[in-house]
Amino acid sequence: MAISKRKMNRIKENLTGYAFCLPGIVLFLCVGLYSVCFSIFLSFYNWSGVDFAGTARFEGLNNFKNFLANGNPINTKLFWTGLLHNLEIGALTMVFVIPIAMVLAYVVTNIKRGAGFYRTIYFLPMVASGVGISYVWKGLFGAKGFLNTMFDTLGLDFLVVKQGMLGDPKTALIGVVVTCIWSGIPGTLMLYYAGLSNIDNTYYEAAEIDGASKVQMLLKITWPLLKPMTMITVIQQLNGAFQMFENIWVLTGGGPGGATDVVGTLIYTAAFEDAAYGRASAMGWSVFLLTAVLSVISIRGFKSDT
Amino acid sequence: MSIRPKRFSIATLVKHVVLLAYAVACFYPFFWMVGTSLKSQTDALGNLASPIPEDGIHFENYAEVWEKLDFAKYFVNSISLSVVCVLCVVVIYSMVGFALARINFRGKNIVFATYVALILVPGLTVQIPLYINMVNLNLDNTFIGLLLPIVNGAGPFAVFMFRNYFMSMSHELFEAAKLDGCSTFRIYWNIYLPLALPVVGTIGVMNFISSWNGITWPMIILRDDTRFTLPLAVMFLDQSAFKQWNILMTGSLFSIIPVIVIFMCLQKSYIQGLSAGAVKG
Amino acid sequence: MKLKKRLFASVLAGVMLMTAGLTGCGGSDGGSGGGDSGKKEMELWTWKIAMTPGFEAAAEKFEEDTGVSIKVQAFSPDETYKQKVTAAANSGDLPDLIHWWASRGIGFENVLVNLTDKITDDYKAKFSSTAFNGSIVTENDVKNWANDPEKSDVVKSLNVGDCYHIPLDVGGFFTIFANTDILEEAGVSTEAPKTYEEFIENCKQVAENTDYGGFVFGGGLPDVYYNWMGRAIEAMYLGVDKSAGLVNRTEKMSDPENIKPLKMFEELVKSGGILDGTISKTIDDGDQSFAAGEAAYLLGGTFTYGQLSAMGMDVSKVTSFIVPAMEGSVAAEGFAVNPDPLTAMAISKDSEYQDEAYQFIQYITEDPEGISTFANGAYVVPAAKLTDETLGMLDPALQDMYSAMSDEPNVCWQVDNWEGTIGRKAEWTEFYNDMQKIITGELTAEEVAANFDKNAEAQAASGN
Repeated sequence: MAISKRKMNRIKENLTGYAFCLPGIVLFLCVGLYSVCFSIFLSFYNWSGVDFAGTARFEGLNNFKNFLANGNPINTKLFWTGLLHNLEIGALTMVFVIPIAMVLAYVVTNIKRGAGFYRTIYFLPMVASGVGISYVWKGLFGAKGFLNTMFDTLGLDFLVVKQGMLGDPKTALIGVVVTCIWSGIPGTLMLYYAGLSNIDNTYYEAAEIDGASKVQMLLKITWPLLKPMTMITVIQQLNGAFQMFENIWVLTGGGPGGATDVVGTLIYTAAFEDAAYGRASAMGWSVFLLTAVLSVISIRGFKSDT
Repeated sequence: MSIRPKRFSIATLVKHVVLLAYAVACFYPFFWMVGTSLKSQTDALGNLASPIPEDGIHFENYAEVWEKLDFAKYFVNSISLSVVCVLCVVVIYSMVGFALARINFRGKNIVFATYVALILVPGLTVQIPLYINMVNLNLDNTFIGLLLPIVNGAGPFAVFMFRNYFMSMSHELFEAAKLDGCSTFRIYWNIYLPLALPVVGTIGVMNFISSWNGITWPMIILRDDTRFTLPLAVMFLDQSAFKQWNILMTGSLFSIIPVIVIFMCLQKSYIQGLSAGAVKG
Repeated sequence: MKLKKRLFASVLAGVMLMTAGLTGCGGSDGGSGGGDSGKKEMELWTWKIAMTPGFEAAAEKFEEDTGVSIKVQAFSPDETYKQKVTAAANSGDLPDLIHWWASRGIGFENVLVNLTDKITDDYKAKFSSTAFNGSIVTENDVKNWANDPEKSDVVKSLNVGDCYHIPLDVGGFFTIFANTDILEEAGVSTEAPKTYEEFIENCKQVAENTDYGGFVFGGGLPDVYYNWMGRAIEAMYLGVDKSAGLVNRTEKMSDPENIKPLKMFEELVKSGGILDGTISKTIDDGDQSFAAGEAAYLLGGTFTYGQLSAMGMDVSKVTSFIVPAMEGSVAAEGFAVNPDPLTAMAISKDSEYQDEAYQFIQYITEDPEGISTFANGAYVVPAAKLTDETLGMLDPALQDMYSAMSDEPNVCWQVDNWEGTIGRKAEWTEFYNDMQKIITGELTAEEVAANFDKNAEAQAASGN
């Protein structure tokens, strides 16, 4: 036989790889591919949502021009400010969520008593979500809400926001970020928890013998070993920030005066209030491209770091 | 980690203070839900932001909701969706993740890059095409039609997680098993998957919750309310012209308490599995 | 080797299972309520969960009369319903009856039954005179849609007079509610203020003399103030021509006369008469804070009384009046709240029972029993013109709401239906956002007006 054993092995390994991927890929081909392609396709059409063959109108790049390059000056302005807000929310959320979640996960894995109790409580924000929770936030942030009352009684007048945190354009985005941090921590905490339980204890023991402090251990051992989890978190948070919609919609509706408008709220308005599905898709996929670039950059960054 | 007796009390105290402070932040909304569920309708409507009922405690809300809500039926709908969803996600995508981490095959990078890219797909814009797709497959208003897109949607992130985790596990394990004559599937199923329990747990819990709490997709694909999941059924408890937050929150509690109970039960075996895995590794 | 086989076997099994799932289980589609048993069953979709009891009660009686049963199914929230209907329309999966917002040019008329022939003058006379505003395509619509690059071909193909849905319920705004207890405490007259200026003064007095706020509304929604109040003040002050000119880009907002209504709003803000935190309130939040006795005045509509009493407020101390005009208004005479159409019912072209579906719509819009059963169950004011007898069959609160509205088209209606109007374009959305910035003190009235003019010009120049 002319085929060498090495080549044989190579083919075998290829086939094994495909076999392992097969169920996932078949599922994607059946369920995901069509909707992704159709939705991209849609970005180049004007379509009200019914009978594509009969009523869709090819628009070329007009949908993109509309909000990217002054095809519609107001939409263009809204899109870029919205995108900026997305970026701000994503960056600020990450800066807080990652360290907080990491420290909490570290502490939870290192306590003897009550770990189960804390884990159960920490998991609550994941289940207790939805529209109702926005009222909790409104209660905390309102003009006469918990925060203002607290600052007032503590004599920290300069922290009191007269219209309430969500009612002042200067602070509304901060309020939104606070809610994002709150809802972002549990998932990240779980990721880190999973990561931490995979770290070999001998690393710490060796470090302890060398006389390293807790902080040093956290920075020199835990942080580098958790890098894969951090990368996942960064991408997850980035993606979450750029696809954010419902959270903002129920909390501020994008206001006041557009101070918390994000691309998600604009996509929603385009699709469901203006019935411009084409433009909505175009916006969605533009943001997709942007987040893809940002993700590639951050993945590269994590790789070159190690 | 070894404990040094002299530092024990202060360090532990600090830890618990930190943990408790955060626990309060996590617990508060839940507390609010319970408080609101005990209010009268006017109290809930007029005094929504506060968690404290001002118009007496109304346990009868629970009786009313229990009577109105066909809990058993919707619970079965929800639990079967979530369990099947978690099983599918874990099995299908841990296989993909394993292949991407441990098997060298042609096109591996393309598969991985595609999955990473799919994480970023704008959810809001693919919803209608997705529905059209499911109708074309004749899966409109079916359990399978409800399930498959949820599983597929969870795929990219799960692949990413499993791959990274399998990559971080020692490669020698694979080589050693290979030399012992194990088939690749055996290595995956008997060695790698059990050791990946932390990720299985994380992915499992995340997908359990998201499939349990999901509202939009079930609402779009199902047209028959006997197939509704629990959170959907809860939304329809309140048919009054003016919102009955007390009823809605009571219903929400009915729909999230099973998740909490399941989480608490699973946590035990999860932790046991973790320590078992640690011994093995 | 044996294990390898097992690997393939299990993967194969997995794939087979999936294909089986895809093809086999597809059979259990419960889509159409086909008439195998000879019994006619229709399906009705709505997004208003609160209106389902009304539809169900009417459907029950309808079935007694005709033998046709109707399955009412609600899907919520709004955006999910919109997606569901769009997607269903796309795949020929629509229910027989589709409940929808009463607006013209909805975008999927191509899958609905064209009801135009049914809308005779006699037929229209059975409804409030403004009820069909949301349903019948006007000359202006056709012209504007033709010029709008963003409108879909479905909308562009509609003709003047086309009608695809029948209005079910109506509502009106432009109403201010007053808490007389607070007014008395502040030493302010409990009589309705005669002018906007007087109203501002009252708000100011309340804020200064008491711990309460003056005025509250759903300020978190940028357009609530303008749509429920501001446009009436503006149209009464400037008159219909000029007010319509602002819509049609022939007038400048920064014109010294045209800016006055906006400046008066700025006055209201500066007077401190608006309750702190109004800017982040939804409509319900605004009602709630008025019901909790936090403010003396509330901006509302026909529904507000019901909402307030559901919130536990003692409505005997609440009075209401129509928004007062500014001093020097030219068209303030006889301003009344019109019944604006809110929701409507359409019929799917694919329906097997188009006649029965139309019969059901007739039942809930024309038959006294049907009207009252539906309206009381759904707690809405019917779009139909009611005889005294039918009116008497309604819930007393609904009767009051019905009587609070007048058929006589007011100035706002006239602005909206101005001959040749281009309708409110994107500069208005920006304007509403900018008005929020007046409340937060970021912008002055002059700046907002200048922005508006600039935006209108830029939009016009770019063909939007």
